[in-house]
Amino acid sequence: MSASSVVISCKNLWKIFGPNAAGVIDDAANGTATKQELLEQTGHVIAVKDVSFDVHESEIFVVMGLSGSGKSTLVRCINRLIEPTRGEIIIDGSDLARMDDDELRDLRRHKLSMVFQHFGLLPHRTVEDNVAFGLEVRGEHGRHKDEKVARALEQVGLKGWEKSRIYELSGGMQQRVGLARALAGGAKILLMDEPFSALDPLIRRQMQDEFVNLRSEVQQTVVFITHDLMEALRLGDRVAIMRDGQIVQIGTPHQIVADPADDYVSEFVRDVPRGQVIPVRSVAEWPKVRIRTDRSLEEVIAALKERESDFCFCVNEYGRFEGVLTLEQAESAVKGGAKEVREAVQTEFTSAHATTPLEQCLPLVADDDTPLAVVDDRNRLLGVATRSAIIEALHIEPAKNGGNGH
Amino acid sequence: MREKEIDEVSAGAPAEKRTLWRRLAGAQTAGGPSLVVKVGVLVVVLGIVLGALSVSYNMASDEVRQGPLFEFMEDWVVKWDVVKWINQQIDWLVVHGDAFFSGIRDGVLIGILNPLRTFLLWLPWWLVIIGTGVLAWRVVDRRIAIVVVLFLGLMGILGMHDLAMTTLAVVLTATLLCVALGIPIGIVAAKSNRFDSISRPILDGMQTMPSFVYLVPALMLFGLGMVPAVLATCIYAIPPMIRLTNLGIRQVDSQILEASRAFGTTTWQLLAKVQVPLAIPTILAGVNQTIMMALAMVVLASMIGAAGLGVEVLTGLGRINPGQAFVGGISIVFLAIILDRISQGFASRPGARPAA
Repeated sequence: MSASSVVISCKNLWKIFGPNAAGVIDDAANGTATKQELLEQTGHVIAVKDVSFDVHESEIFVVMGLSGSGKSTLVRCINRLIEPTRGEIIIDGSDLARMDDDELRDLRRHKLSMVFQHFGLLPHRTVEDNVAFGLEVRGEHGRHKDEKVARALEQVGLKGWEKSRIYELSGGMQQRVGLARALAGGAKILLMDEPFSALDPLIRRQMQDEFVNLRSEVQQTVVFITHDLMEALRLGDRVAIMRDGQIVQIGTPHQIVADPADDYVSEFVRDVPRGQVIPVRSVAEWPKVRIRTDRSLEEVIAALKERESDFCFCVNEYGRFEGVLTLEQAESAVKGGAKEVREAVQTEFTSAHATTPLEQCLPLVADDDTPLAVVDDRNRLLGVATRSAIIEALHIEPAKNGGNGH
Repeated sequence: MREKEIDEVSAGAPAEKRTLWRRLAGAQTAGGPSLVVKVGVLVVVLGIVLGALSVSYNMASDEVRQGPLFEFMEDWVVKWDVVKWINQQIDWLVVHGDAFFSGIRDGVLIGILNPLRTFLLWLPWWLVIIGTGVLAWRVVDRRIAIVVVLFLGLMGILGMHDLAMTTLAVVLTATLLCVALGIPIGIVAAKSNRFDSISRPILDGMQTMPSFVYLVPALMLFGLGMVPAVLATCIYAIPPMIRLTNLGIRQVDSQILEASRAFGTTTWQLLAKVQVPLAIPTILAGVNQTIMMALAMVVLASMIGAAGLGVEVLTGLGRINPGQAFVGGISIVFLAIILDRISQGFASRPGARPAA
């Protein structure tokens, strides 16, 4: 996928719980004691140990780990609900640790939003008043506020429930209110702490699907915490696996499954039904030649020859996928008098939505060699997935101590 | 996840404290005599030592008693006369603070007590009965409403209605002042751990001190009358208000607080939008307790000039007229039951209580 700017940058982050955290940190850094040993020796708990990672704009960055891995502490360091012991967190260019109270408040009001596992809603307020909370806090009132609230509620599918009380709603609906509250303010960065873990399994799956669709409208950057590997692989653009406060591996879902960094991760991914879980966008690449339909056919032929490719993918001005054009088709079209790409493009072409599991994509590429177009909800071209890439992702055996991607 | 976090935080106690405690607690599991036996032996030894000391004091001759050791301690006691010192301070206050205390007295009297009393006495008795009955019906249930009407009716028949209204005015005024002062103090105690630990022993003292004692400074500073009675009642009744406001705010679900903070609230916004609204049920329980304690002071309040039912009781006692005292007393009980049920009803309404 295309490279984008780094929105959150975390460098050497530490969080130690205890009265003398700063004093213990050097021992912890230099020594080889485990978390348990250090707890017994010093009475301090190392929740986050020297964690570094970057989150890119518009990506869903999933942090996955078991209880006690430090993932919840980590996400709370990003908006300083928990004060880090040491390390840098840079959000949109500003260092979090250096911010004073006013700047921090500003950050929380405008740039960051959070969704919590147990919802965190105000029981004495109606649904719409809960959604309006963030807006109210930053001083917005009246019609503007009401419009934003209405729009957020519609986005999460709760139109009509504005005046209800929180206790009248089921768990799934309450979390939608939490989501609406986070979205209403238009924050560009969403922090989500196991948002679907408190819901029952059927609703959880539904919410995951809806969440992916929801995001297509406004491409927020999301830091998503979960203990469910399946959820991580389904939702994440990149996944970071945490254990005992440290990050063990960061990679795309495909990389995690195909190339586990150590035995711990291998153990985790052993039972993952890859075909059903890994979405096709995980193996998609940017097409070699991509051309807009309003270009001339001669340009296309020249480009294809130059890059030694037999075909190209065509999109319109908005990035919407239109079809495929082969070199032969282009040349014969020119002979027939056509000028622009759009006159020759083959619109009958298989494409798959980005979240389609690999298993379902196999039949689409079984017949020939042309790659599968991977598109989003609005049919914009995100990349292409070749048959070999799909097959490789499905069948490869996990290698020991393989590499990982940041 | 949450439990684990709590474990992690509590496990982070200072290392020294933990090892000492562990040693003490561990003494039970390690070999040797158990902790209980050790403590028991210690107590017995202490008892023997004290017993020996007191016996030897008694058996000592007068000469030894007046020896340097004891003389030193008696000197010390005699020289530091706390009683005299307190009296001096109060005298100073009475002389210099006249304007201030008169101001308070007149303000309370004219601003709150008199208007309230006049209003309650002006209401026709049947309206009071019906109105309170309806209120009880709305806020509690029908059975209590019937009880309320019954009690008020009985009081009317016994001729106690006007006196009851006066007592009600006194109690409500005291409660109003307690709420106005107690809630802010309670909020400060909830936000500041240091203030809380300082105020706690003070509140303990206020609640343990015999309520009689409050009459004396009230009398000295404000004279005889309704207002000193109200103020003495206030001092007696304010601790539960402060305590329960403190508790209510501290007990607000920490996850809700965390979520609210994540959206960038200031301390004030957090208080006003989240903490106080969610603490309302506990605060209302505090109001209920305050009302009850104010009623407990009624008879004493009458001793320094509060008109009302307390006067009936006092007069009955003074004139060895048990019938009168009883009628006054039972009316106070009726009033207490009515006020208790109604204020509890307010505290338990579904709207007031945040559902789980």
